[in-house]
Amino acid sequence: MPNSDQEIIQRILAGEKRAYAELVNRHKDKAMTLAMRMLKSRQEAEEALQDAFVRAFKALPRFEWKSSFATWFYRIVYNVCATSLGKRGEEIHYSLDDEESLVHVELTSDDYIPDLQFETSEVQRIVSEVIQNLPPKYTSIVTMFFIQEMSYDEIVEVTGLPLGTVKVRLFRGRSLLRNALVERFGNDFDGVTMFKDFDDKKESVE
Amino acid sequence: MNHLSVEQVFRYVDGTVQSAERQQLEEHLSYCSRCRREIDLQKNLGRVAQKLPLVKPSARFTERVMTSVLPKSQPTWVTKIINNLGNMFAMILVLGVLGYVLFSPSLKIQTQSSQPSQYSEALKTFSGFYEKFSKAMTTQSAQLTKGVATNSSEGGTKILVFTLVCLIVLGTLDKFVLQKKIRLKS
Ligand SMILES: [Zn+2]
Repeated sequence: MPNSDQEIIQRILAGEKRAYAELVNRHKDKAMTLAMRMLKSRQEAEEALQDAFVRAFKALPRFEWKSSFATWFYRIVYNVCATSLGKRGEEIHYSLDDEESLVHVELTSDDYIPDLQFETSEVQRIVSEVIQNLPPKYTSIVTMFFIQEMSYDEIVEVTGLPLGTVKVRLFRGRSLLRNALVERFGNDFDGVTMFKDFDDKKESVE
Repeated sequence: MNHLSVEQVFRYVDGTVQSAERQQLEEHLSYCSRCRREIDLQKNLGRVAQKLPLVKPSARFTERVMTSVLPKSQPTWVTKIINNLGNMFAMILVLGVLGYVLFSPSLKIQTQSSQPSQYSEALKTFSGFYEKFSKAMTTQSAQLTKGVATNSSEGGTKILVFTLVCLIVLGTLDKFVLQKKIRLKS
């Protein structure tokens, strides 16, 4: 069984600083995915992530096990990315439209819901594309929820947003995703089944 | 009962509905295929979203983090020499050839025994200057090697001494550049 984050951190704090590489390797891909979805640029995401890892290393002696290392670390990643977005003039912190209730989020329920072949790489590609293109304030929370598999409470801890806002943003993000997908395939039923054949050929789409 | 609200759909899919509400929702789902389809869609969507390929940072990412995190170790003189072995070898080679050209008597013969042509005239002018220069160098290095050089290996010793002197001069210059006492670029 591989070492836990806790064991690695204990080794680092005991002076074995090189062990930090293990921690970086363990978390970099998921964290990079979050940074990439928030910043929409590979280079900026990578810079932000490196910055976050350096900050985390320096702050490690002050880390108390009030949460998992991942939650604590994502808070740093989220804040670094939020700062970058702020410099660009894209604010993702609490804003007035978060006050709007879920009434304003509507599923296009009356549409015909297509029989989507979820295992096809085509559907996967489109889901990935839609999530990537959601506004940062939605995609950050959608990503934490799905990729990092965080609970609402953990997302609250990472973002510092009120629970209500987290829920609204998550539901809204998921609704946008759902509607985009239905819109894409709703009127194109043949198009969906057509992709079945490509199932095995296109394994991974970068 | 009405169709499920957006929030109810998500809470049902996420498994965060309370048991009383759950019963109510399940009753509706038992006869409403539209809501069942919505639930299926959201379940599948969640499953796909969870398994999407991750974005990977570039290959040397961890290495870069580690270099900015670990204290930089001062290289010892041994590692400095090893790191510069290639440079030193190249320098010795170049200086050796240069020394050979300057001090070898066999090369002078060629410049003198050529047919008259524009090219050889130019060569003669050059070799005149060259001879003066090399004589001056020879006297200087003869003074330098006084008492060390023997007659038989005079040429070789000259080359060796020339190479060493140049190495010392270049080495000192290099050190100054490294210490930023001399700036090559602004
Ligand atoms: Zn219904």
